[in-house]
Amino acid sequence: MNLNEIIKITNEVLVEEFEIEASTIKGEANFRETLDLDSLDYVDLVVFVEENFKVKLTAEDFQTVITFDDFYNLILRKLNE
Amino acid sequence: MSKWSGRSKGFVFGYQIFILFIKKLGVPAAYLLLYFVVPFYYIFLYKARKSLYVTFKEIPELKYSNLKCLIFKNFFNLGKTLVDNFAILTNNKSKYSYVGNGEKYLIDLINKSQPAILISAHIGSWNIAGELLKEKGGMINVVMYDGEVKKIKRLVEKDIGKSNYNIIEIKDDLSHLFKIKNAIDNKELICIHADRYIEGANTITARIFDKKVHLPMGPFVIASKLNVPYSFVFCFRESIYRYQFSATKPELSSDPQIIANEFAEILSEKLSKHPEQWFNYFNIFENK
Repeated sequence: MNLNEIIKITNEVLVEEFEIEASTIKGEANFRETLDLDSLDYVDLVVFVEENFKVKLTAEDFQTVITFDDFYNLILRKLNE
Repeated sequence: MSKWSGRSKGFVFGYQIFILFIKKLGVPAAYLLLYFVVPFYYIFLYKARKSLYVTFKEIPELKYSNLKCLIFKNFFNLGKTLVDNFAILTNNKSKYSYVGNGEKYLIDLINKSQPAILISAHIGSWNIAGELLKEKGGMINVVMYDGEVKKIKRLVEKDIGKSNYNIIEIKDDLSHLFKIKNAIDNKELICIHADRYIEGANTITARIFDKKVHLPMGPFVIASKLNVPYSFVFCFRESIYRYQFSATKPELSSDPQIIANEFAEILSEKLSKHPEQWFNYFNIFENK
């Protein structure tokens, strides 16, 4: 799976799950602020990534995620591990 | 309820004295010691007394007429339950027995290696329930706040030995959510108390005795989002060395509100029956 496919799948799910406009999702935008994430939303994110990409995320992984690009790249990196 | 700091009352040194009594003189001697300790707590823990008073006033058809006596009895029962918990952890387990209601559901989960969320409250003693499940071969993870964990860890490491459960600390870095997920992936059981939350936490509303209460949202969201069965588990002290265990049939729901409503209903029932074992010293009816 390449980065563009990851971005497409991720954005589709985020728009639906977090009820935000697709136009607000930009690579350099702040991930947490744009999605207005609270602690329990991470449960959704972990489940979404696991179901769609078959990879597991850890708390440490999320510490490196600032922007949407970071999130896409995290999934790509996990897929390639 | 919103004012809980995530830390429990009591001093490690005090606990150590009780453990020493249990080890050297036995459980009844430790109960006797409570006659000196409980009045101290009864006098000085005004907020806890007040919270109990407010809570008990909401219970319809309360079987106790004197609330002051009931509150004292409650404090005393907390002491006895703590003594029992320590006794079980210090090789006195064989003295304890229980009558079970619904234990077959949990044994089934363990035998089928089916992960589940066991939702409980600060009423009675879940530690006894944990012991029962461990006997049956289940791996139990108890989710608790950092302030509680440190105290218990110190005790366990210094005076008791090996704990009968794995502790998952609730931390700001959210690592607990991932640990819970991992435990579920490993087909283990997760025990969470769902009657108390700390300031700033997400809550869900439900009704207890037809009054609106705020409950922590986490346990209900986790059970619904991770699509694992949940069961409401309680364990009450009946008499010396004897406990009564109950577990509801495991259910699945994708709606946290449904789970919260069911929990509130069963908690109302348990609180009506066992106010003397309600150990949540925060006013659950307080507005957020």
